[in-house]
Amino acid sequence: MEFLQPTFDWLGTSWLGVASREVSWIFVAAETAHFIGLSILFGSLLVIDLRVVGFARFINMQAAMKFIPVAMVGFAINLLSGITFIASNPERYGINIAFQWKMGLVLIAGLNALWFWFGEHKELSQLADGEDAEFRAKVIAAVSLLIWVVVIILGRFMPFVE
Amino acid sequence: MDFDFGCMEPVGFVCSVELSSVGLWLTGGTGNFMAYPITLSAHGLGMMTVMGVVIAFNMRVLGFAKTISISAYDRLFMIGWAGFMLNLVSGLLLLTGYFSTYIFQGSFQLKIALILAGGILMKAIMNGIRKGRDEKVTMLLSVACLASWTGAIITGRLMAYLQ
Repeated sequence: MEFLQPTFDWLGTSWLGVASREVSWIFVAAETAHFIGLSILFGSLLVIDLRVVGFARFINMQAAMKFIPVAMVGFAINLLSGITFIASNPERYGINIAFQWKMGLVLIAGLNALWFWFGEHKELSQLADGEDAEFRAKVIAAVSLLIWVVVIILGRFMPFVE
Repeated sequence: MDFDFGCMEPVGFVCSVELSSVGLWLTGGTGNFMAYPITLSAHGLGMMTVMGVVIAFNMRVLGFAKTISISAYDRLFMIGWAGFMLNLVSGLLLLTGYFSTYIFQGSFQLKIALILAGGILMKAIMNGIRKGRDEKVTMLLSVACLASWTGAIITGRLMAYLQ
């Protein structure tokens, strides 16, 4: 991730970088926000993806779709707290193999979400309670859950592969 | 990687637990340095699953996405329980490995109390819904439930920083 290092360095010298190093509670607060943000994101995805996969097929599909903006709120919390981590120590993350894999998977999860939104969303919204989704949509939902499970694991592994 | 051993000898109950074969396995004392990161990852995954289900369910109780019937959450609860079991097992392993540190730690004790409160509140909310109790009371319990689980996450994080 060498191409991102100049951006990371700039973040490190920004007010956020300075503040996160000088004010001790900012990093801890960002860590807590990161956990809560991921819980909001993962919980929302459990509702949506488990409905689409068919495991929780009696969840109303249109109502499940209301969790999409909630997932985006969770993601936004994670993005902001994640930027704070990088700003606090810009040398630490770019070279971390678990971080690199995590970011790669988050990118794939984003593309998968776009495919879900533009390719499947309309059709899925018309599903009746208990009705099975198309196989293609099930694959997208299963991939989404799998990616986020691996993202969570990689996040915890980051301090151990430095 | 550095591993700190709070106990040097298996004297007394606390140090006997920490220096048991399970405790040593977790902290790398048996030469297996992957046990701790794997257990910690499992704990993180379990926590996200439990918290995710708790958030999604309580948002529904508080009036979000009302067209989802409460009974439709049953399958989600199965996943939530699986996450909780993963958390319990991995949490017990982590506790065994760092028994002398965690057992006397205020943030750990508060975390366990908040998890117990969160669990009891989840049960009270379900009972309230099934028995058709006052919706406002159930919603109040739901807010308290979310606060308890959020508090458990906060205190869990603080464990790494407070002794």
